[in-house]
Amino acid sequence: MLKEDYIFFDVDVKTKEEALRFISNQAQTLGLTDKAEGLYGDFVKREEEFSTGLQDGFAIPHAKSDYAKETAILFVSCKENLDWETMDDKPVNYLFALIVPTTNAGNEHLMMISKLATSLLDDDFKEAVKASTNKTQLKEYILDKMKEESV
Amino acid sequence: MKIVGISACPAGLAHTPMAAKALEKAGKELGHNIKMEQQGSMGQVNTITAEEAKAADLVIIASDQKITGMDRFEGKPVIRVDINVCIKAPEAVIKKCVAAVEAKKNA
Repeated sequence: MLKEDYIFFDVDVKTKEEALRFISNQAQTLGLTDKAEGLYGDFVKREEEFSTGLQDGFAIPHAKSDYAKETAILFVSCKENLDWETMDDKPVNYLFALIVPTTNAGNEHLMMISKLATSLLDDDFKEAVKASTNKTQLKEYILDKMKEESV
Repeated sequence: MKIVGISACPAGLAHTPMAAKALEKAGKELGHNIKMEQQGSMGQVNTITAEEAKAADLVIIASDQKITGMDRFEGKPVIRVDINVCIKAPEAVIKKCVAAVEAKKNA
């Protein structure tokens, strides 16, 4: 559910919408959806319910979507500050996009997503993710964290 | 103080566990006994039992969603809180709720 190919550094997007579109298009390229447009719509719908902006430059856009073929986490770091409604009113640079099928998401995967979310309460985790420049190391680090953090 | 609570958000994926964890951590740090149930995409996680509900001094509902099993908390002080505030400022939420319950007790 998290691979090196799912990690994107220094992506050149300027708005929240561009970022969500980038993620949806990449998801299609990676075979996680057959319809980027549909997935994009579900991301936007979720943002409208309320913003997924967190604190310290992080956001976790997510979609439970009929267009999602498997549960996946995409990580995107953005070159520019994105205007995104957050809890501390800071702009967003780091995105964990959670893509979850509406049916058969798999409890094990949902558990890992839950663990990723709670890891984002941890300052050390956020700092390590921000400092990372190596996809393999970042992937391993995040996967380890998702295993150790308890529900 | 014995605190129990429930968190729930629209998708039930991320904010639900975050709020539960944040409140549990803050509650413990403030010296309270706290247990948070999550009503998210995995159904009920860390379910509050009837006994735990009965023993509670305070019930925190971190959600604007419909909550399953509210009848457990009949007669208990129930405070609803914005789930985002619970993630952002969990200590402040606990302090405020505890203060509200204590004020009521002493009234």
